[in-house]
Amino acid sequence: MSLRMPKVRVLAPLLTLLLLLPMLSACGGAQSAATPDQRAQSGAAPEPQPAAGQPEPAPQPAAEPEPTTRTIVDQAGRSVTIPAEVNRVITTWRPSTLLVISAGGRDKIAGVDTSSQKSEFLQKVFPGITDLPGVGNKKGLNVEAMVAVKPDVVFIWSGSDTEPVIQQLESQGIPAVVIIPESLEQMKEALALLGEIMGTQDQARKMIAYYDDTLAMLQEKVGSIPDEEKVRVYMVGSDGVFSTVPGNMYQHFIIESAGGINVAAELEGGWSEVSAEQVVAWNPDVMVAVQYCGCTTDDILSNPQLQTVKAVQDGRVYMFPHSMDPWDYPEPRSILGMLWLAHTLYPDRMADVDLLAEVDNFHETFFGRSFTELGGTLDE
Amino acid sequence: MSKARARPARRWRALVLSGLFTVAVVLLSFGMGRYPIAPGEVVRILWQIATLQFDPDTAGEAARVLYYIRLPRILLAALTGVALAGAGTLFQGMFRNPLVSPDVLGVSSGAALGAAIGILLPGGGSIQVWAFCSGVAAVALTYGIARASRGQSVVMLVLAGMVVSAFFGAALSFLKYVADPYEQLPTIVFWLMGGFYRASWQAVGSLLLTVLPWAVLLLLTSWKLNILSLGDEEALSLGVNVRVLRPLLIAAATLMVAGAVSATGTISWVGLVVPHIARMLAGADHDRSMPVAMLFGAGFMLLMDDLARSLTTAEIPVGILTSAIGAPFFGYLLISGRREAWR
Repeated sequence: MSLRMPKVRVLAPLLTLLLLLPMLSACGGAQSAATPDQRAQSGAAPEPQPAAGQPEPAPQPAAEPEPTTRTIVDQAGRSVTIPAEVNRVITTWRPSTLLVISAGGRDKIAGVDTSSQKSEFLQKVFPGITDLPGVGNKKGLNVEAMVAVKPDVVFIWSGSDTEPVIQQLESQGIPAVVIIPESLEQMKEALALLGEIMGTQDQARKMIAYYDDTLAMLQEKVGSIPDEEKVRVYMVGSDGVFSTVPGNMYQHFIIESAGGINVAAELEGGWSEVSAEQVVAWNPDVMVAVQYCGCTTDDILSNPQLQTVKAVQDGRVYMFPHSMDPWDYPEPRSILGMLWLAHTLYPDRMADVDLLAEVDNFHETFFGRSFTELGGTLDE
Repeated sequence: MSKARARPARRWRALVLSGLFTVAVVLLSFGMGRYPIAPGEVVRILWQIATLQFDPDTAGEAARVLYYIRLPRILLAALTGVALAGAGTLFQGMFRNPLVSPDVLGVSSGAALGAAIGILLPGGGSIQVWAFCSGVAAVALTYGIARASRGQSVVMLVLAGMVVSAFFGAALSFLKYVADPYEQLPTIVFWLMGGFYRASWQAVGSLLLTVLPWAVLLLLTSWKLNILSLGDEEALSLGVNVRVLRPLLIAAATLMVAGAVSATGTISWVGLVVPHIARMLAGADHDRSMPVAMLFGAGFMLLMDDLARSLTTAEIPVGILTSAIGAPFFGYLLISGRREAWR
């Protein structure tokens, strides 16, 4: 060992120097690696975008020769070149599957995410969904499975987790279209975009018109009520009786559209924990619990801490409808959730609206079968 | 040490064994995936790539899948395995403690916090850069605290690492708390669970830069780790400049692990258990166990990722598999294996 001693003295500073050099270049390397918009893939991966990139030599029965392509702008503001005629699409999370179906593209779905396949509602309106190839879910998409489906377009969500997926799809010459259906406005945009891409504009327009008409009707019937006469609503959220909906969640928007006032509107963030005292102090007129709160109306009605609350005293405690999946998610059927809530908050003002007929009609028009036919029920 | 030296054959046997294992796993990995490619086709495409005949414009679908999706992913997983196992071996030797893992100095909690910041900041640059720089910053902080404490440095380093990890962990919890539960929170959670689905040639390139030079450095200096593990005074008396060598090695391991974590998310257990397996195979001499650990780490990581990407249609976070499969395997080794490596 002692023979190696002098080596250390020389080696150490040398190695320290060595350490500094790659560290700088490494940081630079990481930097360039990650700038998400600059996906030019220097040299290693030339952009294969247009139709020329379509693989020909490999055995490939499904792909017909594409005469032209067109360029659309997706909801993330990206320009995407897609085939002129889109016949095979992949949806990657449940709202996108629901939107594609309600925009008239059910028969074009060639691959689908696994959580859509597990959805009770989707299984009913689209029984073939379980036989389609699964491509992963929001927790992880399998690019190889998507490539094997040979889609014309993949509909994908926006987020840092999909950037590498989009990049990999592009390397295979498959266009990915980002859709962001987080609010009703965006859902309408998404529907228009989907209709344009899949050539099903008529059906998409019908859905958009339904949203507009229904919201206008709600506005007229319950939105015009002066604030001090509006019903004050406490919505029970996903984490039990004392979690609720802050002012920036989609469920807050549902309450407002239904002419209610969200007592927790001043809060921000996700499902928020509040104290029992706070709920007593808010003293809401109505309490509505989402189905995944892990609670029942009896839990709330019999809770000794809440006995002085007006909603409990009046017995106005309800579960948000969840016949075949909850109706309060940012998904197409949330419009029915709004109708139901308006009906529940203001039975008199909404008396001339036949809720079940309305719900039946919606399912019939946009999902092919009426609600009752599907086995849905409103009394739960 | 003398006992181990008496059996030189073991070194080669262990190296060849782990080498064969890794090569076998690499071959297997090329054939696995949801997109069906026949083995003959795989060989033909690999030959095309190896002889630089691969042309993305004319390549068939299978070739593109192999070149753009499978190959970078295999390289990324193998490099991550090298980084975690190498750093684990280093820290276990340096701190003379078989229970430490590469994140003992806070690099993982640092990187995790950085990633969360990158996810939360609106348009806030790259998650990878945030994670890398924050991981390095955490270790720098740990080192600074240990230096300022003027205590016995190895113990102080571990304690300072705990302090920094706890603090960064709290900051991460806070960010999770304020994150939007629909979009950002799941993104943070899945990022932290780790996975190689982000693989691309760029990711491989930057990881190569942050791992390869340091892996070589660790291999070259691994014989000194034996001396370092005797304790500071002994090492000094044997002529090893602890003041220079220790920070150098810590920096090297930090860069490796920060690079790996920022490319793939936190992957537990590999950095803790692979060094043990390497010691079982090659003996306690770091000169021998370091290369075995790196080779075996690459193979193990790759095998776990093969499972992660082909067991189900979705991706299983690879960190779950490394623990779920690695832990029972290690338990089996403990029962049946040699124990003298720890004496």
